[in-house]
Amino acid sequence: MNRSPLPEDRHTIAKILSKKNLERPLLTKISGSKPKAMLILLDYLSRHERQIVENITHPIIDLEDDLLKKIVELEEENARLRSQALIDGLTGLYNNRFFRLQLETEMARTRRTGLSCCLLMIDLDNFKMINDTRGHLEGDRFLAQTAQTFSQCVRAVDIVCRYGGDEFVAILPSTRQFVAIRIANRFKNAVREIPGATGYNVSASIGIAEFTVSSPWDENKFIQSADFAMYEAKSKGGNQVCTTGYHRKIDGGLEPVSIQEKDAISSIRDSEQGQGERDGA
Amino acid sequence: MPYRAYVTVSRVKEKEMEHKRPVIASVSSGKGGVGKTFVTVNIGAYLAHRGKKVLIVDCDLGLANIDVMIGVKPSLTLKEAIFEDKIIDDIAIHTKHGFDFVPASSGAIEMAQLMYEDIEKIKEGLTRLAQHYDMIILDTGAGISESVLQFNLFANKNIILLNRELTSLTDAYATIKVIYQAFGRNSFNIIVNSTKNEEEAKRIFNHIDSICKRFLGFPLQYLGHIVYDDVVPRSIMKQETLLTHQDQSTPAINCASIAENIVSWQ
Repeated sequence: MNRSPLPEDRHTIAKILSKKNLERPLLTKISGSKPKAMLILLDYLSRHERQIVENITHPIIDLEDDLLKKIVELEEENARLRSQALIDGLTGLYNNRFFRLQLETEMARTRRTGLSCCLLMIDLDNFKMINDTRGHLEGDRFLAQTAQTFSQCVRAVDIVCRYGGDEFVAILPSTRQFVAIRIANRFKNAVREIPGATGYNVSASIGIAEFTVSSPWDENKFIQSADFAMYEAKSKGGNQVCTTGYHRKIDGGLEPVSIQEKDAISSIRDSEQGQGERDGA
Repeated sequence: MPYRAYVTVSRVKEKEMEHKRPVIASVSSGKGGVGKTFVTVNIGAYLAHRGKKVLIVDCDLGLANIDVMIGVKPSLTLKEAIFEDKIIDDIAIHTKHGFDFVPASSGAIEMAQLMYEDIEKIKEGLTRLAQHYDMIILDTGAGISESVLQFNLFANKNIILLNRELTSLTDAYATIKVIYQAFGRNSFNIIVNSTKNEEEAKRIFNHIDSICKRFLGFPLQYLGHIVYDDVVPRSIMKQETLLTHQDQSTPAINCASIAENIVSWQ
């Protein structure tokens, strides 16, 4: 028996759908950005879930209707193709292909806005141990967990992708290196928190490259630079963050005016005051 | 504060090499109200008077006011160059002061928040124009915004203006430090404005010079000074330069001597 939907029902449905990781094929937004109606394919749900959904929604689609059936099929196929092309099946992160596309976009954005972007190349140390001793299924589980952990470590604008194997990348748009270091350290620490990580001594080696408007890099060079930094982190024993970048070669870094410098500038006050008195005398 | 460009020759600079290379000088001070616009206009007038082909560019993009200082009412500005694709050559106007002038607009918030790409567009336009001139003077805005830094990078000579106030000294030093750290520039030409006399100007210069040597490791160049005199505000009020207003006054002689020093740069 249908009853009219309550506000919390939307939440209940969303929960079921997100558990199935099926929001995209299952929801069709109708009329603008605010979904007024949802298209839910009941076949995807377990009997129990189906019952919940049927309790609080009106089944508006009769799969006997040929046109609707076609729409649903197309929607399913589109979603499948979309996700196959850009999403990594194991981890649910974006895949390498999407990463390359997005990297190109972000580099173009840097050239337009002048704001640097950073690339984190992340490689798990000793991950092979899990595969070798506990089997590949366990290894896959660990990778999926790592992916989820990384997704929680980043800001809304950042993009985490699986590069391949036990390598991940994160694109940090409009980000300077010193901020990227903070985020990378978050990744590094989070990996150690994953269950089983310490037992197998799994950790993350992270390389950071910063792309500035004046970096003479193409995408490959950018990736390569992050790679080099990552190799450096690995060669230093892993579980650390290293950086690279097309940087000016001045020692001392980009420091603001220090208190010592300000004091030195202000010291003119004393000599000029004395001078003023002499001039006046 | 984002410093984004590092030691590198920009795209624009490389193209510039192909042409005759004029002196491109930026005038910055960090602090506002030190006299950038006055100094730019008057030195420009004296350089033009000495027979140089001079272009003055109002690079204080959001709060441009050279037009007011020299009494012209431009119909096209850099704003139109960026947002309406007018070419900079058409924006440059000849002035009665002898120099040519590229105006910008005042109170245009979109000009105060230009994208890097837009600043590059201005630089490209100026590079094209540059071959017709001996000297280009860029009057940058106050502060150390991205556009101020970019115009300092574009210039091959950086002039820093300061006066006797502690805040001006600190801001001038901060500007020098930022440009040095961001672009590796280590040659800055100092003008001491609104000074009592040459002795005071020299003392102020020596002070800031010694601080640069001590903390940054390089000396500064003394370009000149301008003694304070009532003729300065009077000439501004009349929208004239000292050259036409009162060319025998001390500030006028000071400006002429700075122009003389700049001529030797070529």
